[in-house]
Amino acid sequence: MSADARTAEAPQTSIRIDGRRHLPARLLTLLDRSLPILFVLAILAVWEIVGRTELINPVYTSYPTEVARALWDLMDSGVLAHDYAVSGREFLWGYGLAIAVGVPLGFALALSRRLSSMIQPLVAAAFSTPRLALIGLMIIWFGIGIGSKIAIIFLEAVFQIFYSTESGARNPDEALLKAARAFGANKRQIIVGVVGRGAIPSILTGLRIGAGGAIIGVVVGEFFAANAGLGYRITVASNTFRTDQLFAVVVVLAASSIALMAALRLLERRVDSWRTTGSRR
Amino acid sequence: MNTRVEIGALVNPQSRSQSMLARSDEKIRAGGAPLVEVAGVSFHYARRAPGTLAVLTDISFDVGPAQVLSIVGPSGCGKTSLLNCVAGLQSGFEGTIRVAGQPPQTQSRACAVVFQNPSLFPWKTVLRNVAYGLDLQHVPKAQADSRALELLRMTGLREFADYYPHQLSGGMQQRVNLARALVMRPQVLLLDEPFAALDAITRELMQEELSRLLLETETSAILITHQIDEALYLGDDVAVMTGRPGTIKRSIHTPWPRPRTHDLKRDPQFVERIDEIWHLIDKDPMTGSMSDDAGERGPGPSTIRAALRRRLRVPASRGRAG
Repeated sequence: MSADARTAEAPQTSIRIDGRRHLPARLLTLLDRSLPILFVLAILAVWEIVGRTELINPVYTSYPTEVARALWDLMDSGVLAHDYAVSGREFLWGYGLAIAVGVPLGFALALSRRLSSMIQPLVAAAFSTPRLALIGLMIIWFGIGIGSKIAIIFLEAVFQIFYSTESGARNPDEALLKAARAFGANKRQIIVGVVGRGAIPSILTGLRIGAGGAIIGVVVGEFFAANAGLGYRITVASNTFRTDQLFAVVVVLAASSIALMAALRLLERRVDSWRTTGSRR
Repeated sequence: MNTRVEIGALVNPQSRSQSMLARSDEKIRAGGAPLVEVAGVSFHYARRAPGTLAVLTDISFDVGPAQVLSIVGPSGCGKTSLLNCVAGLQSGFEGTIRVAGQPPQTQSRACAVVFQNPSLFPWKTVLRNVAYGLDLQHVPKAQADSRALELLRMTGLREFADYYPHQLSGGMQQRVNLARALVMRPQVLLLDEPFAALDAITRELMQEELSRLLLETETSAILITHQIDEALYLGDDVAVMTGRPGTIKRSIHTPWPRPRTHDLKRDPQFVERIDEIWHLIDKDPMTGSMSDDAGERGPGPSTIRAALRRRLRVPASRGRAG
């Protein structure tokens, strides 16, 4: 990593010692950076060729230009926007509730041994239950509307958030606790300033993993008893052999997921700037 | 200006030795109550049956204004427990401890603690770390900042105010740790093996720095250390602790005026005293751990380790003597 950084900063050194001589360092860096993109482009090209030459029946695989056209049609007709809004609303509710429950519960159980011994087994049991098995129950409880979707998203996200918060808050740095105490910190100052602050990296990791779970929840929740949403669109596409549409929605989901993860990573970096400043850069 | 004069008076050998005389004879001491009074303190950890694990037995000492007391002893002799008691971090001891006339408590502004581990908050900048104690007391930010900056200047860390601890070397981190305690303007600084984790060169420099800072700020200190030369170099008095349960075997007065230079460490008198202290702590932990029932389970490995460490370390200082 540091070696890379050095080459990037000093383009005038035009020789590397690993055999690929004679190539200027700048060109090599460019090549290194573009390799992942080239690889993806190559896969897309193969996919396109296989589909167009009907080496494999395009009903099964479709091909990139077809997917792009389906994506355009879905956007043009306003279907995708509607689906996106429906799924987005479900996601925000389910994920928001998961944070609102997971983080405080994690802190409560980390700080209180009694509460922990009381609730922990129940949480562990719920965590080990395959959430998919509960979908039917959620539909019975919350109906076929947005309620059951929110419940499923909540279930997919809450445990990761809870466990990450709890493990982050359970073992605060002993030396820091002692220092805080020696400087006269009261209980609130210790819980907020040492335990809470120390748990933030772990909480943010939980939020990131939880967001991944929540997106799965969105799709899975809409497989059953839905009439709009990205998951619903995938179901419809697959039932009607519209592989191109199916891929188009998957692309949208993947892009949203990547954007969300990037945003959360940015937040992580913002809040924990000390980790990324200076020597480790 | 004023402080200079006072420091001058403080380090004047004449007046210093007089104050020492007065101090050593407790009955006729005229200068008011000492800053730290420790009288008949014993401490033991409650254990599951049978009985308890004694850590400290009948410890007594005084520390006067601007005086430095070094407490030297092998690992596991209860030095840290003793300091924690004075700092108010450890309750449940027997006997009396008074810091500036008050029972020890962590909220007290009379003393501040410097731990062996810098224990800086990794997410706070150097400045905010130093201002930590002031921030806890809700001192207005401008005031807290200016006090912290002053201390950073005194410790030579002014340019590093906006750095994070992990960007600093171990010695610099420990300097921040020191500044964080001194910014509280304590009357007594409690130092728990503050330089034990540093390399030899940094340690020497930090000793000199600490000595200077204590003089400049006219702060008293209790210094816990297992390094005999450090104890002698920094302390007005050196209390030698031994064995388990820990007790003060002897208190030795150091006659050299402060500030002291590192040349002192090569002074024959200094080396002689190192030897003297060495002989005081050499034999005790062994017999202590053998005869003491309670210590049988607790200190075992650490006592052995301490003995080993002494075996390895002290021939060196003797070599310098010879």
